[in-house]
Amino acid sequence: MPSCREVDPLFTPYVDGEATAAEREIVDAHLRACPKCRHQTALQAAARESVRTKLCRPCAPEHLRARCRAAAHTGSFGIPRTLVSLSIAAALALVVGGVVLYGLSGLPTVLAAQLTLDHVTCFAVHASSAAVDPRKSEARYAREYGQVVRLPRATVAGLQLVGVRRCYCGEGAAAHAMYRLHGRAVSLYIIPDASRARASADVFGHDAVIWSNADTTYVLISREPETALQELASAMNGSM
Amino acid sequence: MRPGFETDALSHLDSLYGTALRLARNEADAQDLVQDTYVKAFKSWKQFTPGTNLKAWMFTILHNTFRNRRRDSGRDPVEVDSDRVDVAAPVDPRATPEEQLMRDAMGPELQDALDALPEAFREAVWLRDVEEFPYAEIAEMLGIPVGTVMSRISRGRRMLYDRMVGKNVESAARKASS
Repeated sequence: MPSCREVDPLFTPYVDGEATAAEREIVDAHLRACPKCRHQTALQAAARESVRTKLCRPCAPEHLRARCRAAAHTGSFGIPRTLVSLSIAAALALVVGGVVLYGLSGLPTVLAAQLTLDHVTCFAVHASSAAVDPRKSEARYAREYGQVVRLPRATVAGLQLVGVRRCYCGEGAAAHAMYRLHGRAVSLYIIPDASRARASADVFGHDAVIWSNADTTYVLISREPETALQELASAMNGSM
Repeated sequence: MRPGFETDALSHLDSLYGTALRLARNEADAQDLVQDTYVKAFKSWKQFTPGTNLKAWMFTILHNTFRNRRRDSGRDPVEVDSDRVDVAAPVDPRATPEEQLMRDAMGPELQDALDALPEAFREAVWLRDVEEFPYAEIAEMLGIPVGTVMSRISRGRRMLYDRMVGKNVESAARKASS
């Protein structure tokens, strides 16, 4: 009779019903003579049955479904063909409403509104407040999205990078650097190949500062007082 | 994008999310992981060979994305020697009451016990017993030999059993002594 060690690799396919007839015969013969292995296969079968019958897949939340569906509408260069992300759709609805109601033809406000809603959505979903390394985050972003992004190295007391994601706005794909400033949410959006005049906006209870540097547009968003946000924007710009 | 690809890919969202939760063990990271998986899948959909298993292809992207993220965060898991074939420690062959305890376990405590397993075993058991992938597809998505997949499933189930039965035996003993 084969030893326990020799038969052991057959136990899992045996329990899973994947063993061939010949393998089953070998295992059956061994189990008849070996109580220890009989017990081992029985406990493996019990664990398998429990997992299969008692654990089920959770349903993905609707906002995640919307975000993933939106990902389908990004072209090969990461530019959205249509903007269907939940947050962007909501932003556009509000912004379009704002344009109609208040005549906000100033594009900085539109951009600030889009990104503010993304800022709120991302921080609502991304609960982590653990600091991450900027260099490693830049490397991961380049590897995952094929885009080099340079994060500021500003040393501001209490400011910590907690994540970098890819987000979308009307101007295309943007790197979204998420920070915590003494625990409060701060976002820096980095939009490549886009230039804008320096501007600021107050939208949805948040302040936004927009500036450009070397064909890249930066949008800083938070609930910090405007003067504090302007100082933070200057510190970030100065460190790039 | 090929017609239908988006719909086909999104039909696996719940499976991917469930697996991402088992890997990341928190909702925020799991959602990020799934979103990144879809961004990459839609970006490289031309690399998918029609007629092959789209679900397995998506799971491979999910797995690789998770590995890359974890490596960048410097939180590599403790390596496990899962190629080694465990010869089980001596056990009581009359163990049907414990098997019954395992079968009587409630879903949430079973979920907690599974989440407490080392990643390699947790992932193998989940992919096989919940997602019902064949061994060969699990091997391909994890980049390990089929024998290692079976070994991880076997050891994962045994570890799960030990955790559940040990916990229930302790609980029963506490009740008996109180």
